[in-house]
Amino acid sequence: MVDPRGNRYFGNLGYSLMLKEPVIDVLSDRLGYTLLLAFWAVVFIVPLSITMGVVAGMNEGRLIDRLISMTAVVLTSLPEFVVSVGLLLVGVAWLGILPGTSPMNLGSKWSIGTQLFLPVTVLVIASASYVSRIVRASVVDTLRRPYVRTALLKGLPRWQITIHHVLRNAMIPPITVILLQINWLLTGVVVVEAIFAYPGVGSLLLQAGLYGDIYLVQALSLLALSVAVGTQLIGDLCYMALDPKIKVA
Amino acid sequence: MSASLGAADATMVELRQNFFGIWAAIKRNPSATAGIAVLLAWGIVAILAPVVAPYDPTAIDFLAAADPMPSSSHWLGTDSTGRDILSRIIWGARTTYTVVPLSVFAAFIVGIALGMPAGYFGGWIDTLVSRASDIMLSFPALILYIILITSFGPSLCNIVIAVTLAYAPGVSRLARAITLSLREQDYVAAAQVRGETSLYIMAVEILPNARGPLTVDLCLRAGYTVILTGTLGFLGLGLPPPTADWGGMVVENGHLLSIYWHMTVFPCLAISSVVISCNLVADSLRGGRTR
Repeated sequence: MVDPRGNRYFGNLGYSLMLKEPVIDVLSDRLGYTLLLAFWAVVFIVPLSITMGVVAGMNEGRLIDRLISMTAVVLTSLPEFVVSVGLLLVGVAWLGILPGTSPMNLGSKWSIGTQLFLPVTVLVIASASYVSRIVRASVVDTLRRPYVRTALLKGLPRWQITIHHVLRNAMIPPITVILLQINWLLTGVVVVEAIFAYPGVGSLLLQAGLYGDIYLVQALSLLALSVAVGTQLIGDLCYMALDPKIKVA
Repeated sequence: MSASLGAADATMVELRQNFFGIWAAIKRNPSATAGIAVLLAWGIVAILAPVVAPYDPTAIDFLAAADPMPSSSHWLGTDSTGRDILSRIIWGARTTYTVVPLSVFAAFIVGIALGMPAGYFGGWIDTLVSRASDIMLSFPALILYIILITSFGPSLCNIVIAVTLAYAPGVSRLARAITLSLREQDYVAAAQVRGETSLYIMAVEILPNARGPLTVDLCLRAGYTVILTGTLGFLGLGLPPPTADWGGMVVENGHLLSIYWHMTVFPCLAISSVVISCNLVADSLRGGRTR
């Protein structure tokens, strides 16, 4: 029997009480699935939210803006489990074209792609609607800046102003938010993972918390904090790349 | 930080421009009026729950359990144990309207009490409060709830404490940022010259002028708290089972979704209507701006 407390100062995370396995093995198993889910979610969230936000922001007050903004407010307001229930009802109960759970078994009759579809969709709906609102607000704010008016008055074509003057400057606030979404995707997808029985870090955290598996909870908190610090650092580097006025203090 | 401060300033100016401030901002906007109406309606339902609910929320109707679909005696049907869904939703409104205001107000009182002195005095108080809230904010909120509630048990008091711990740092950050900008105002200087105490200046001069951004934040956080309490209920960490709780109702009957959709869909609609209303009100107060 290994000492369950481990020696965490030297990288030994101890021994899971619930799964009777070293914590490091459990984590490395689960982290792969979480990365897969997070990867596909980000692939859709980033382009979708930026496109929606920019289209809405550039057309502030027009019908298309009101449509996108209203949809975004309603979708951000829906809890993840409500979106999941809605999608399960349509995709599984009525149409029967998608699996109701996503345990990521290779042997099941549903392919890995169909198993990933619903969890990814729920995450994209929950997150892209929120990010697109931030992008919209930032674009609207940037369009009011004097340098945009100058660019317009000196006769630059609209697309060039959009890409060079507006987009670059409007991306600074959304980057923080997108990185916060990555934080959430890597360590906080408890609800979606629990609903779809997805074998990721979030459902592990819930099980560990309910079981009282202190060593596992401790390791997961360490992971969450490392991810939070890491994305913060990446965010600062992105600011510097986008805005030459920002320097390391 | 500076970006959020700018937005806060702009909102504040906008709110101060009209005499009735917050109330006028709501009345201008039809979607906010709808939001307020829905929130008030749920509030009335919550207060009158014992009168308007057709059944006891925990009463089991064995006959209805055999055929739980919506019928003339049970308008929204019953759940798998034969409890009336409509009555449970009505009593669930009471649960939501107890937990959410309590925890949001607790978070705001703690957050303002920490953030305003931090912004007003600066120095070591500021350093202490800011670093403490940075530490709390870098910890994912849901992990905090799961750890707190699994170790101390699910009860009304513990849920309120968990929400306060998670939201107070964000509120204190906002209160500090607003105080930082307001403390340079002439009326604050005048009050200082008059010899008013710091407590008086913070409570009477600064706090009323900070109400705009704080109200917006309150509405947003109230919405998140409804989602959160629903989620906690859904994860089995909400109030213990016989209590009618919207999130709990979803999870109790979720496995029957493909046969008895009504057991899950109606509580989902109830939660969504409250959260959407909170966000619509917050949105109109902010004048379409997003933090």
